[in-house]
Amino acid sequence: MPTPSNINSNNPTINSSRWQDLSQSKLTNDSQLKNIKSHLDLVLLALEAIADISSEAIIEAAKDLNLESVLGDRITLWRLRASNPQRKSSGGRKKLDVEEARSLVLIICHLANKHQELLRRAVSLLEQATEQNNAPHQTSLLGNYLDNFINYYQERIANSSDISADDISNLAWKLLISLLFYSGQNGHRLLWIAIFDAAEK
Amino acid sequence: MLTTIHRFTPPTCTLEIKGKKSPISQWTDQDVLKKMQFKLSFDDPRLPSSQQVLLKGDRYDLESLKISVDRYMQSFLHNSLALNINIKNNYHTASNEPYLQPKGLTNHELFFGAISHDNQENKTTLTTVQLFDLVTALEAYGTHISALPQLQAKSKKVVPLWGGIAAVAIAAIGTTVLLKSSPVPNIAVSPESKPADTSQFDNVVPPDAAPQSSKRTPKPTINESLSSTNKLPPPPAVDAPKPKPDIPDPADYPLSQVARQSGLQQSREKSPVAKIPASTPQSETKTKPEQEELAADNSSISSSSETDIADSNNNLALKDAPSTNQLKEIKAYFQEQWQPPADLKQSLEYRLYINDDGSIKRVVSIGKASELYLSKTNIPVKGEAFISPRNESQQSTIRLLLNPDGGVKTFAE
Repeated sequence: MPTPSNINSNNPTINSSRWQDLSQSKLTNDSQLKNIKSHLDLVLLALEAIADISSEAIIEAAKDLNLESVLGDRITLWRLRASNPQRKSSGGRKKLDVEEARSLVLIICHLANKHQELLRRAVSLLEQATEQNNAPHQTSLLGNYLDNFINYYQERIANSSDISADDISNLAWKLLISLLFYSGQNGHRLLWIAIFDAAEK
Repeated sequence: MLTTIHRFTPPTCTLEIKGKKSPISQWTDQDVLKKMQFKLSFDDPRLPSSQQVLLKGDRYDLESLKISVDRYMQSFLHNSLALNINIKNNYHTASNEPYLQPKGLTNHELFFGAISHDNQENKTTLTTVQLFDLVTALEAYGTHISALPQLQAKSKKVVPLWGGIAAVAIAAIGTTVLLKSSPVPNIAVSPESKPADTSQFDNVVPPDAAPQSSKRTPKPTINESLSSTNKLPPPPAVDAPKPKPDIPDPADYPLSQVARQSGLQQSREKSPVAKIPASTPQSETKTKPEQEELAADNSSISSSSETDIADSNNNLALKDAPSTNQLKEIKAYFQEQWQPPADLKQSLEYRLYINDDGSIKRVVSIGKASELYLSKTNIPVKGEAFISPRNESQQSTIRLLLNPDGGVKTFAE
């Protein structure tokens, strides 16, 4: 499996099977990478909205997975974001490359897995509300999630005012459900394939 | 050959896999099983038992189910990234294959296809959480078990090496699908030949297999439905297709320490761990230390056990030990030759029949993708020199797995 020469081959994560699972055989062009980045941002946004995850937690996860060397600058950018929450740019000045995409996938799934009980509970509540024809956001867990999601979405995503409240809500629920699947043992593969598929369309 | 039972138990379903463990398991990271049978029970404790559904079948059925779930998940997750909600997908494939389709925001209908079941309808509705548990159980199965096609099981196509001959359908051969009704005695915990980080899947199987299974599987009903099931007349030239999902082959990668958190750990236990009475001296030594360890284990994930029954009817035992030199040669050959096409998303699987002089007598493609990509595999199909001439102790049948990332695996059969 080819790896960039600047990656430390003694890095346990780089050698881990999960890293290897995220095959690079489908090489990506710029526009695909851009799509991948925006999809990853969305998934991360949803995760932050449900699990109240701070930039610090993301940095911690990167450390736990020994991905600091890969993410390098991006960690610095996250630190900046942590110190200035109003910051509009989500670290987009530097182009996301494939290694960073792999790292983000692992981090997101690692964090989702950590919060799996919460995700399971949230999805159960969503199921119940749907069965009973109630508005999901009437439960406090889901209400908070939706509020957070909408706020973050409007803060960070360009052209967010063009989108209806209903559409954003729907997106929020679908992403919440997806997070449950990303929290599983093979979540990283599911997420990797999903964003690649989406990037190609 | 030892009979092995694996049980994967997320909170809302139970997947039990039974099969004979092939000796080649010692060379792979998975348990390689022959004559695999499964029971999948959607037994969410919140459902009354009358609404709990049980599916049963063989390797082919389980692989079909796994593929359909993987395919559905891929489509579902892809759609979840998009704002536009109603992307119409064609969920329905061949009429006898299982498939899923969404039902509202949080439900999913699972159609069983040709898989045997005990339900009134040929489908059931799963909540998202139940679907997640099903995905989890199937992933655990895919990670831990590799099931070999039955030598006399139903299959799809044979691609003979000498061209121009159409696929041959061979008459149905009775298959031993029904699980034996007698309890499996002498259950021993599997020895720790598995890597340590899969220990969370090892639980002790309760000793009374009979009462347990009778609680879950009303026998007369099952027998009826199975005997009346119209299985497709199988041609077994040999293979049940083993089409792989678009996800990279987990068999290529060992579970790593980083990835240990399991989606199966739940605080609510489904099948309480019970003590095994050791009934033979051999199983006694194995079970005692394992029992103590596992009784303390709160994980309600899978359990696995092996029996010490000598299987006198087992005529699938490999007569010769597989020759590792031969396997190595083949593997090395393909590691050089195999150039996965960019659009290939699945693993390709072939059975190679080797002539005495080391050339290939015949190639059988296992699965649709394998058929399609055969010409791209560089398998020397014209009788060219391939490997060293085969000596008497060597296998004449090899299974070859080619992965989309360039990985190659070989197994003796």
